Amino acid sequence: MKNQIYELGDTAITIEFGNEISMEFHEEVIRRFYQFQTNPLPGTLDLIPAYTSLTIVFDLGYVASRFQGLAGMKTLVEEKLAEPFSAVTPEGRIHKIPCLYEGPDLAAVAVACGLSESEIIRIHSEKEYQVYFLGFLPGFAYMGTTDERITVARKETPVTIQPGDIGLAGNQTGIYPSTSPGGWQIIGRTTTDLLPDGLPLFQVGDRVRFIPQRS
Amino acid sequence: MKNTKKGLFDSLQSLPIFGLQHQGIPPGGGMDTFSLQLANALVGNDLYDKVLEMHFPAGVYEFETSTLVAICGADFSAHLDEVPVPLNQPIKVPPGTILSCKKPVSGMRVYVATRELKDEQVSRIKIMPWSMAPENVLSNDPIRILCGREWDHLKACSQQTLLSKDFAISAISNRMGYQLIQAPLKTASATPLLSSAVTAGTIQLLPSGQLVVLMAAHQTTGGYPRVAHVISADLPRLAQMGPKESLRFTLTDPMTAEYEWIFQQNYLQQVRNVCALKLSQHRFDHH
Repeated sequence: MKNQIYELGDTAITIEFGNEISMEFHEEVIRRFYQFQTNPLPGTLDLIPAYTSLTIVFDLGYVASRFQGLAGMKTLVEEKLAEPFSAVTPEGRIHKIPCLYEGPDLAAVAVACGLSESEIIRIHSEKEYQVYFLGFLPGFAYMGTTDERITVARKETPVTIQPGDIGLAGNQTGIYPSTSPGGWQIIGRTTTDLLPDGLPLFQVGDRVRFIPQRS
Repeated sequence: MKNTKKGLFDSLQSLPIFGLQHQGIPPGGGMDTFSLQLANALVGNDLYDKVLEMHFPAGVYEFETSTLVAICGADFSAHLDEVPVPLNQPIKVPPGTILSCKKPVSGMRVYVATRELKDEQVSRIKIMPWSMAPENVLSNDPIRILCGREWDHLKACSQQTLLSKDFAISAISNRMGYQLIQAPLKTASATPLLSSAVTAGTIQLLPSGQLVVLMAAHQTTGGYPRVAHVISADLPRLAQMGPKESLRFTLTDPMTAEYEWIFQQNYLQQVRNVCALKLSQHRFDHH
C-alpha cells in the first residue's frame, strides 16, 4: 500500500502506512516517528504514533503565516518521506511485568474462549507483546497482538477499572495506569507503577512480557 | 485570590500544552481559548498565562491584594462587592474585594485573569475607561467544519442532514466532548477503523449514528470515523454553547480556517499591545 497523507482538521497531518495491524507497517511508524522527532518540521507541536499511522500536529498560526498552511506542510511531509533518513531508532526496552491472574473477568473470558482459566493464563503470558502506541489515558499502552485463541470482545457497558488492571480487547492487551471507566475484559493485575514520577513507563517500540505470580 | 466558596467546576487553565501526546497525555487547556487570551490581554499578562475558568454555579473569590482583573467569556452577571461589573473591561480592585457570579445569562464558561498591582494601592473598585468588544471577531454564524477522512462513511442524505439540520447539545457534554442529538445518521460503510490520532474539534461518528465533537480535554487517539472537524477558530464559540442549545454546521475550506485563526490571533495580540500601552499611560496620569 502506498502511503496515504491527509489533513486531520486544520492543525494536523496524518500519514497512513497501512490499513491493518502488522509489524511491517508499525516498524515504519516507529522509524518515521524518530525521523520527525530528530528533525522536526517547522511548527511541529506533537507527533502521535498509532498502529499504522503517524500524526504531526502543527502550530496553525506559525505554518499558516510562513508555510502556506497545512497544504504547504503536506508537500514538506511528502518530501521528507521520499528522502532516505538517518535517524537512529532506539532499540525498545523489554519490560517484565509480574501479573496476578485473578481478574474479575478471567472466568468469563475462559468460558467465551472455550478454554480453562489456566490455559488463558498460559497463552497470555507466553507471548511477548509490542507496545504499539500510547493513548486513551496518560501512559496507557496499546499492546498486541494476542493469540487468536484468547480474542474477546469488549464489554458492552464500561465499568470502573483500577490502576494496574490487565485487560483484553479484540487482539489487544493493556494495563490501566489509573482508575478509569473501561470496557476491556480484566484478567489480572500488576503492582508495577506504570507512571513512575508521573511519566509513562512504556514507550512506543518497547516490548512487554507478563510473568504469572502466585497470590 | 482566595476561594471562599467552591464553584461546580472551577479550575486554572492555560492554553493547551503540547509535546506529550505520544505518551498518551492530552494537551488539555481552557475550553474557550479566545476568552482566556482576551482576559490575559486586558490585564497585560502574557496571552498563555493561566486564568480561572468557571462554570455556573461559579465559585466566590476574595482578592487578597490590589489587583487588576478582567472577566471574559460567559455572562454570569459577575459582581464585585455586590455591584454588577462589565465583561471585557479591566477593573482595579482593592484587597478584600469579593468576586461572585449571580446568574447564568449567556455562555457556558467565564474566564477571570488577574495581575497583582505590586506598586499601587487601590482604595476602591475602579473600572478602567476602555473595553474590548470581540463581536467583530466572533460571529453567530453556523459552526464551520472541514470534511474529515471518513466523511464518505456517511450516506449522502446524512451528509445533507449534517449540513442543514439543527443539532442539539446533549446534557452529558463536558470538557472532553460534546454529544450532539439528531435522528441517527446513516453510514454507507461499516469498515472498522484502527485507532489513530484525533484533535480538538474532531467530529466522530458513534456506532449509534450520533455525533460527538472532541473538545479541549479529549483523548489523544480514537477509533471512530472522523467525519468532520470544527475549525480551530470556531472552537471557542462552540465552547460557549451548552445543553439545551442547538447549532448548525456549514462546510468551509482550509484557507478560510487558516485566515480566521490568524485574524483572531492578530486581534488578541493587538488588544494586548493596546492594553499594555493604556495601562502604562493610565498609571502615569495618576501618579
